[in-house]
Amino acid sequence: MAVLESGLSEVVADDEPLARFATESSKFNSSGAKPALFIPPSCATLSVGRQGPEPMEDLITLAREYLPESKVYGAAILTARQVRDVELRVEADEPPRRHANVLGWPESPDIDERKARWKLKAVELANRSSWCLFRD
Amino acid sequence: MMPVAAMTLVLSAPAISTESQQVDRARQRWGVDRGSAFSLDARYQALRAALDEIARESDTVTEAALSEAARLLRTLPTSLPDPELASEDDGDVALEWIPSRTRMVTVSVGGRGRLAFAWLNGSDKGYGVARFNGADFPSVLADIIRSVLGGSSRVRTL
Repeated sequence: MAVLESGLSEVVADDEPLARFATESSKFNSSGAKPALFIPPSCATLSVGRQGPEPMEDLITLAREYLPESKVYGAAILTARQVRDVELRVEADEPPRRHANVLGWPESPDIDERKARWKLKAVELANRSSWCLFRD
Repeated sequence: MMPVAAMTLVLSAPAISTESQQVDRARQRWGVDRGSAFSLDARYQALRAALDEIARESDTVTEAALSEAARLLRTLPTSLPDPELASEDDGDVALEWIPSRTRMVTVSVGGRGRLAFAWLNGSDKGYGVARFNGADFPSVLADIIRSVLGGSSRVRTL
């Protein structure tokens, strides 16, 4: 199996934790990540880091590498299996190091129908995620 | 985007603007008297301020989405609690009701006259698209939000 420059396997294992970083305070609340955090941009590629909540310093370091000019408030944590359980794919995509994409978002010729289907995926991801708040 | 202070002036002006007509219609529809109309306006102003904050914080949300979100918030039935607002990375504004991690409703507003939504209600889930005419909160959405907030399973799963 191929190994990436980061030392991680090219194949993202089911039990690997993934972090979706929040750079806007509107995308989480006191109970955790909102569905809005998991809506991808129009290119249908949701960016995540292959990093769990422990140790926290490593998670924060990765957030700063990915988003050097943004305040990162925290991260929603999911395993790759939890993402695959809602029929989305996880594929490694380096550089940057430890980076992966969540792909396979539903398609539809109707843009609003497509968005509604994305939103259901986002709701299911929010439901499964845990939340890691970064302290200032 | 119209700042909050300017919006207040429009609401208070004696002239018959489109927005004041919408508020009057909303008051009639919900049986709101003149006294409680102040709280209706105060609710809208608070939501509008939250929307302005979204606009300040987000690099992606579009003017069309913000404008339509403001119109949708003005039509929000008084029987529904305030939504939480969020930006989405495709440029839409999200209105979300999240009573728990297993019950949530999310509605996207993108300035297209159609609202994409999805919900989770325990083991029930679904999605759909509702038309928004700019003046009336879609009844199908109101029913789903009430159902999820109430924890019932009366909503048909799509």
